[in-house]
Parts: sequence; structure tokens; C-alpha cells
Amino acid sequence: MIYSKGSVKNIADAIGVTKLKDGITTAMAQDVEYRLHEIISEATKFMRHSKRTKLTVADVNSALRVRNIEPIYGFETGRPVKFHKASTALEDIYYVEDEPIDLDTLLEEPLPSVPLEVVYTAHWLAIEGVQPKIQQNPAPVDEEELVNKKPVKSQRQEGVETIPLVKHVLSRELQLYFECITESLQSPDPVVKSTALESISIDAGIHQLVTYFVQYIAVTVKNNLHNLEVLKTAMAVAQAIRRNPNLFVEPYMHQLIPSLLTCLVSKRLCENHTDDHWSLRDGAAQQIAEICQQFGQSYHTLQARIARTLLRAFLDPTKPLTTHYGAIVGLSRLGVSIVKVLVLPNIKAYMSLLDAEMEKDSPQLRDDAKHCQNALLGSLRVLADDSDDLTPANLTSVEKSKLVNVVGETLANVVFSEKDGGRIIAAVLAAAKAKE
Amino acid sequence: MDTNDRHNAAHSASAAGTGAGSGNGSSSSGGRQAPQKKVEKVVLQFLKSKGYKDAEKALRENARLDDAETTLGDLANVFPGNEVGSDASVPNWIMFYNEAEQGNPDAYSQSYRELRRWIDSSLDVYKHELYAASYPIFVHSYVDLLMRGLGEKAEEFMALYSRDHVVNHSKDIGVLATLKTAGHAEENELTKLFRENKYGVKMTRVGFELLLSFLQDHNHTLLMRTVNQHLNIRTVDGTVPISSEIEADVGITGHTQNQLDHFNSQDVFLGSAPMDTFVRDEVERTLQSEAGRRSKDAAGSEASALLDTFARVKQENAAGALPAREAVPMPPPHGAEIEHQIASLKALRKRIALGPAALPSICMYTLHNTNNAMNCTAVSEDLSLLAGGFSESYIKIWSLKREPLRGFQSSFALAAVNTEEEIEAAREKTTDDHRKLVAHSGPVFGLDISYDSRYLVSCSEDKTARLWSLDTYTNVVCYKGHNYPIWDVSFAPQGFYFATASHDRTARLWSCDHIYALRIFAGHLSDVNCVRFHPNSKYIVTGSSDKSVRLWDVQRGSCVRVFTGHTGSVDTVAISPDGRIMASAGEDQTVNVWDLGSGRCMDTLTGHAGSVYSLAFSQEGTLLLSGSADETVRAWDVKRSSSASDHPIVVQRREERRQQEAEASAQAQAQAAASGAGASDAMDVDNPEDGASASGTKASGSPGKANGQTAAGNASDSKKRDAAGVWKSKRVAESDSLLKTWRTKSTPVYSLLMTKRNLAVATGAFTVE
Repeated sequence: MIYSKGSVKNIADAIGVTKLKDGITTAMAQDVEYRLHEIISEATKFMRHSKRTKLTVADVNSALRVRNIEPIYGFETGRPVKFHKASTALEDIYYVEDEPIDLDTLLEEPLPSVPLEVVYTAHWLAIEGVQPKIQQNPAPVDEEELVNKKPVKSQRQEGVETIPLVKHVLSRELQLYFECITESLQSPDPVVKSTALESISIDAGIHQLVTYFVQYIAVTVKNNLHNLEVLKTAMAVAQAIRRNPNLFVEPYMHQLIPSLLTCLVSKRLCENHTDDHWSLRDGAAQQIAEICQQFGQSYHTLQARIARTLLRAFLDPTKPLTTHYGAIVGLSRLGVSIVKVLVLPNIKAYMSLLDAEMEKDSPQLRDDAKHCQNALLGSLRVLADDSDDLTPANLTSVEKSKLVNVVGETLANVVFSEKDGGRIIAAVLAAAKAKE
Repeated sequence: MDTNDRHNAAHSASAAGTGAGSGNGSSSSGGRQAPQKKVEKVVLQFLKSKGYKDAEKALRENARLDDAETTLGDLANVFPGNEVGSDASVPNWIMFYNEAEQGNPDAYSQSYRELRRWIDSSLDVYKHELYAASYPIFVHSYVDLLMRGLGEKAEEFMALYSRDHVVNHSKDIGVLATLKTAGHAEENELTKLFRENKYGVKMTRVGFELLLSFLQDHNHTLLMRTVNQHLNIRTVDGTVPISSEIEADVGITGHTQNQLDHFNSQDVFLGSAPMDTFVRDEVERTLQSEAGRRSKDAAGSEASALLDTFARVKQENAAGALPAREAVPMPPPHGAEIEHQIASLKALRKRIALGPAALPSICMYTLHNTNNAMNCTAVSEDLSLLAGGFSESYIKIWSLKREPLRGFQSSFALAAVNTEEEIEAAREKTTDDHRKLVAHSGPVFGLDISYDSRYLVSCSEDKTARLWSLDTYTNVVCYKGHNYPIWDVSFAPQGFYFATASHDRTARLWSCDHIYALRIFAGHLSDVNCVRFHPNSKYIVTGSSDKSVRLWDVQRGSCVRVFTGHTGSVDTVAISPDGRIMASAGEDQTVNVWDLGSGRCMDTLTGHAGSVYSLAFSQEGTLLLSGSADETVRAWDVKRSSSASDHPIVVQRREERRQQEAEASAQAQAQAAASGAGASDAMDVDNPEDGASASGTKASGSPGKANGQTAAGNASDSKKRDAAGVWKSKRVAESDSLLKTWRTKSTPVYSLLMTKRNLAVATGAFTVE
């Protein structure tokens, strides 16, 4: 019983009725409890129709009004009431905090701010059934948890094994096609491989497989980090699905980009150091740049996020030179403004690090450093290529000292030895000047 | 006993005198003597209760019975059950025992316990129906105990046995448990409902006989009486097609079972409404003139394509249309209707086919800063307006195109307007893309925007419904009639009519031009929570707190279908655009899909973890979307369930498909055979050119063969699937129909809309904890 005889007695005492027979208090307590239940169940209707899950004072008042009872004024608040717990010797009691308010201070206080206006926002909850991973939708992590939880629950309910939905959707032909393509991609015969890639980049009816291809790329990259050939194939697949005009790859970009980044800045991508993993990195950088260009409109933060990731790799001296190379190439492909803002100011400091590496007595390190240097030169060339109306600077010592100030001694020497050195110097100095 | 013989003799005399107990009169064997004396006591008791004083006196004198001996306690032990042979009619037998068992306060508890034990040990085939039948017995036992002032016994009883039913009837149990005294039991709504109505249960003949014979054999007369008085058992022939307790449990519908059967077998016309001839001709004329005028360019070709579509739509409509006399009268059409028709034709052409493999795109409108004060939302069909109803009695409208909402100024004089510029000039100068509509004096619980986005209708706790013009943004009409808060309102698909659902247990039909209700749909036993029109406007569907959904004929104002099976109140309903399937959902977190024609439940969809607020069918009716308090939108496969049932259309379609496949395979085989023959012919001729052509036919033949194989493969596949379908339907989990769940960020989904182009639009209020 929620409402005890004692409570009735207490209330009766409080209003001055002292002689209350036991039978009466029992009957009263029972009846009051029943009436409370009645009002609450009526109030619940109002709660449900207001599409809330918490009962409010307003709901109770509405219920009273419907029953033709005077509502209780003065307790309505916009928010759900917060109950506090007070433990007593017998039982826990819950109460609502009701602080006394001093009217004078209340009057002196500035008016509370006007409540915010109700506004609406629009976003895609699903695009052709796929939930885009955008800020407005919940994080995918929770979703996986939910998915993991769900089958367990339904299994318990029905004692039947639930089969993943996606298997039903994918037709047999598509499954065969997918198997065939993935086999061909592993084939040593370049003709077979290129045919498979071409098929991916042209075929119209394989949209359902996009997610499988993306997954294939991710898994391949993850498992074959040192297998240059396989990685190159994976990058080619990524290229192919992006090229295919019939595929809608936008919702899968978030899954694709990590694989591409891995191929760009990973520490080691081949068994032999002499292998040409540089071209793989160049290709990945090119793809990332293309993606940024393509989807930068709809996802403004995309390019910024990638640039931030690459910059972090570039500026971290503990990272190997191969990673630095990837970062530099990636950044310079992202465009002139990125080079101006993120690469140029850091070149001088970075070159000193590179010089130190060059000094070291390891042919491999020296080779890597050479590549990094070339990459930096490439990024400077991006600046030069951007503007057409450059008058090539004279290769004088004045210019050189200026350049040394910006890019450091070693790189300046390299620039001077280049054919188009004059243009580069002019562009770099112009950019550096604009920066100041 | 030396008086036995005398008693015997006296008995035969008394039997002659009263006309009772004649069956026993002839027997005079010693073994039957003791019971005979008891019979006399019973007869005496009966006479006493009926007030036959003379007969009673005669019997007493003749039988020389000691009055003091005849106590109720005695009577409880008078007959061992087997002595009342099968020849004793049940009602008499009950009468004797009522008195006996009523004297014993534990009788209910004991009999119910035995009933439970018996059901537990009964065959699995009958268990679910027996469990369903035990629920009303449980309720009545409890209420009887209360009525007789045995509050403590009742409480004990509830504590002991409520667990059995809490799964399916938690809400009712909660209410019942709050009852404390006979007074409460008398005035409580729910107990009244149970007392005044019969509780429906579907049982097989065998199950019913099992129950009856159990109650008889074990002398549970109290329970027997409950079954007689308060249960309405409909026996179903053969094996029951039902598999769960819920389906056997029809519940209280306010109709006897026979009436219910009658109801659900009434004719319903589910075809589309016939198109107005004026509109039809006018649309055709407009399209034709457009096609003729610009036959060269793209617009012209589009217009002629639209014409084709229109011809097809017309044909389809004509095939399934209502007879004209059955259709609901409509006001004469106006120009906007033609534009609307053309727009919907265009939308039809751009429609994306949805299905289990092709899920829709969902656009979500999230409302912020509502502070839990928003009760409902509505989006116009053309996606130009979003409206929200608030607890603070106002309605807010936003333009979804972010255009300013400019109403006409109050000084607007129709006579002075000649050109379009002047109309523009007469509009207000505001630049706001949102407006507030103020007139209600209580929380706004329901909103709907008419198909042409020109009117909005709202309903509120203040017992009124209001019509708003979206040209002037003012309240045009206030409709009074309901006596209690109105929960929901809905426009008819062609406008003009709207329906309201109210706390006063009625739904009402209104037309915009009358201030009183045209029809009152009374019959629900509790609040009517939601109302929707059938696509042909001839019917409305209402969902109620009495856990039932009803289909009403608008013209006759009568109920034509009752759908029972929910275990909580029904908060939302939706009807498929083809008008054949209906879905309902609510507090019990399940969605039920019904076949309107047969009144049968096609599928029960489980998966939601909160009340379901809204439902929407895709335009083809293949997909059902549901939005819920658990902050998800879910997509369900509707046809999966219907393929298992013998829904006429599905059966027809399946037949057609099979036929097509058979034809295709036959054709392919013929083709393959022909090409094979061609190839062999060509081989005979030793000519390089012919050889080339032969290889050509070969090449063209091989795909034909392949086709034939795949078609044959498909046919066999479909057979397998059918076979598997039957097998599947036996053990399959209900939630198998769930195709996908999309979660929102802390946003319960208030409303869902499926546009004509199959774009889903969801709205909800972002809630901050």
C-alpha cells in the first residue's frame, strides 16, 4: 500500500481533526489511493498524446479538468519535476525541492532571457536506405552495438537463428560476379586484372556491391600492408568504383578514405626498401585530392580534416620519412592554398630535420630523405604552376638568401639547380611575402 | 438409520407434490438412501430461495427434515461430482453449487489454482487458447471477491496469479490491482467494462469441450458461471490457424462474438474513389493541349508521356473503382484539383520503386528548443509547409522552402483586385518564414494539412476543432461538438471532409462547411486515439484505448470491421494507398498489419522498444515505415507476410508470375531448340559465310538457352520458396519482416509521411535530457 493509514492521520491532525476512528482512516487511505491511481491513469493519456514519456504536473491538471475537478494551481513547470530522496529510519521519502523565494530579490533581478525560438533543421536520415555518417545522425559505434545486441535478443525470443539481412538482398548473380572479380584481381595476368578493373569502372548493375568492394579494399589493405602489388590493386579498385558513373559512392567515402590514407602515409608498404612504393603513395594522394574536390561541397569539413591529419603526420619528427613523404605529397595535391598555409611555413624547420637525416650513414635513409626533398620541391612547384604571370626571378645571391630564409639552405640549393628555378623562387617569395 | 425407509416413501410423495426429483423417486435401494436425503435438503433450499412456501412446508412436513441441518456448509459436501450424472442439466447443477461455493471465501482461489494447473498440463496445441480464456476468468474471480467485500482475499488472489497475465495485460492488471473496495470495483471503468460486456475468446471445438468437461468434472461451478455469464467463446472449426495467445484473445469489443463475425463479413468496397468526369476530361484536355502546343520540345514529349500514364491510371481506377452510388458525395471540383491531378501524375512518373531491396531515402526534420511542449507535427503533401501543435495552445507553421509566409492583409478587397501584381500587393509585407496560429485555449493534440496545402485543421484539449486558411493564416471555422478533449484529426484524401477522434469515445465526421458533425461513430469502449481516412474516403479507421481498431462506413455511420489483437492502446493507424492493407500500432510497441477485406491479422511486427507514434506505407504498399518513441525509424516488409496468407491480390499476382515464368521458360526452350536446329542446318552447308552466320545464330542461341535455364531455375526456385514459405511461416520470428532500423539522435519520431514520389519525410522534436 502506497498511502498508509498513518498519512491520513497526519493530514487529519494537521487540519485539526484529531479524533479519527481506525475504520475511517483505513477506508480513507484505501479510497485516496484508488483515486490517485485513477487520476494518474487519466493523466497518462495526456502524457501519451503529448508524445512524452515523463508525466508532468500539467498532465495531472488536465486529467483533473477532464474529471471536472479544480486543477491544483501553482505547481506547473515547463520541465519534468525533479525528486530528491530523503532516507528516514523507516523508508525512503521522495520530495520536490521547494526553495523559498524572496520577492524583493526576485524583483531586483534582471529579467530572465527570452526562451529560444522553436526552429527546425533538415538532414538525411537515410539515402536510399543507407544512413549517411553525418553529424546529425548518431555515431555508428552505438549502431554496431545495437546490431550486435539485437540478434541475441530475438534469438532468445523466438529460438530461431536470425540470418543477416544482407545475404537475402544480394542476388546469386551478383555474388558470383563479386567472387569472379575478386579472383581476377588476384590473378598475376595483367590482362585479366585490367579487365576486372574495367568491368568495375563501367558496369551499371553492381551498385549493391559497392559496399562489398569498399570492404574488400579495407580488408585487403589491412592484411597486406607489405605487399606492394596487392596494395596497388586495391588502390586501382578504389579508383575504378569511383570512376564508375553508375555508382553512388558518396555514403561509402568514410570507409574508403582510411584505406587510402593508409596507403599514403603508412610506415612501410613493401618488402624491399628498394621497391617503388613512392608511386603507390603518389596515386593514393591523387585519389584523396580528387575525393576532396568532388565531395568538398557537400562535406565542408572533409578537406580540413584530411589536411589536419596529414599535417600532423608531416610535423611529427618521430614519424619515419616515408610517412613524411606521404604527408607532403598528400598536402601538395590538396591545392595551392593548403601548400601556402600549411606546407610553406614549415619547410625551413622540416629541412633542418631532413638535413640531419641526410648526414646519417645509411643509404636507405638518404634515399628516403631525397624523396622527401623532391616532394617538397614538388609542393613548391605547385605554387609556381598556380600563377602564370610570374616573371622568373634572377638567380642572384640576393634572391638566394631570401629563399634560404624561407625554405632553408639545402632546398634552396636544389631549387637553384632546377630548370624552372627562377619561376619557383618568384612564386615562393611572393607567397612568403603575402603571408607576412 | 431406521428412518430411511420412511424418508424414501415420503420422498416419493414430495416428489409428486413438487414435481422435482422425479428421477430419483423410483429408486429405493439402500445405497442411494443417504444421498436422497440430501437431495431433499437441496430441494428444500431451492424452494426456500424461490419463495414457494407451501411446497416447502409440505416437503418439510413430509420429509421431517430438521431445519437446522440445512446449512450452506453442509451443502458444499452434498454431492460428490459423479453423482450428478450426465443426465443432470448444467444450469440446474450450477444453481446447486453456487450457493455452496459462495459460502467458501477460498473457493475462487482454489478453483482458479486447479484451472491453472490443468492448463499447464494440457496439450500444447490447446494451451494458448486455454490461457486466453483463463484471463477473463481471472478478472471476474478477482472482481467477484472484491464485490463480496473480501478485499484481502482479492489482494492475495491478485498477488498469486497476476503473473500469468502480466505479459499480455499488464495495463489492465495495473488498474485492477489498485481496486481496494467493493465500491471501487463497482465504479471502475475497466471492471464495468468486464461486467457489462462479454469477453471474446476464440477456441477450437476440442479446446472448448476440454475446458467445459474440466470445469464440470471438477465441480468448478463458480468458474463455470463466469464462463457462462461473461465469456463469449467462438468455436473455430478444425485446427486453429492461430499460434499465439494474443490472437486467441479477442477481448471486449462491445459485440457478441456472432455479431463480430457478422461485422467482419460485411461487404466493404475497398476500390478507389471514381474520378470526377469533369476533372478527368479537364486533365486530359490540359495535357493534350500542352502536348499539341509543344510537340517538338522536351516539355511536349513529357506531356504526352503524362497522357499515357493518365490513361493507365484511368484504366486501373476504372477496374477497381467504387460503384458511383457507393461513393461519398464531393463538392464540385475546382481548378486546383486539376493541377493537383497533373502534379500527382508527374510524381507518379518520377516515383522510385521501393521494396525490400530498395529502401527509401528519408528526410528528417528535427525541431529544436521545444522544451517538451510540442505535441504533434504535420507536413504538407507538397513538402512546402511544416506545422507543429504545442501545449501552449498555439500552432506554429514553417515554410520548408524558407520562403516568407505572406498572408493577405485584412483590408483585402476582392473587387479591387484585377491583376496578379495587385494580389501580391494585397499580401502582408512580412519576411518571416514561420508563423504562429493562435486561437485554441488548450494543448493542440492533432493537426492535418489538406491535400492542396490550402487548409489546416487542428484539434485541442479545449474540445474544439479549428479550420485555418493557409492563404490568410487565420482561423476560419471553429467546430464544437465533442464534450471531451479531441486527440486526433485527419483530412479526407480529397479534402472537404475531416474526422476527429476524442476522449469522449467517439469519432466524428465533419465537412468543412457545416459547424456540426455529420456523423458520430460511437462504439469504442474507451478513448479514440487516432483516425485516418481510407483512400477512397468511404471509410475511416479509428484506433482506440480499448485495444481495438475499427473500420467505419462513413455514409451509414456504422462499424463494418473490428480488429482485435493489440495488447495496449492503439495510437496510430495507416492504410496502404491501394486501400487493401491497414497497419496499426501503439503503446504495446508492436505493429499489426491487417487485411481490410477479410479482417484478418496478416502479421505482427515486433522490434520497437517504445510506443509507436506513426506509420506510413510506401506508395506501392510494399513497405511500411514506423516511427517511435525509441528514437528510431524502422522499415518493414509488408508483402513477406501477405505472401504467406492467401490475400486475393497476392495470390493472383503469384499466379500471374508463375504463368509468366512458365511461358518464358517454354518460349526460351522453343527458341533454344530452334536455334539448335538452325545451327545444325548451317553446319551441313560447307560454306565459310554460312558458317559465320551459323556461329552468329549459335551465339544468339546460347543466351536464349541460358535464359531458358534461368527462367526454369526461377520457376523451381519459386516453388521452393513457396514450399519453404509454408515451412517458414510455422517457425519464423515475427521480427523477420524488419528490414532496417535508422536511429535518430535523441529525437522521438512524431510523424512520418510518404510522398507520391516515395520520399519519406520524418519529423521529431530533439529532446534534451
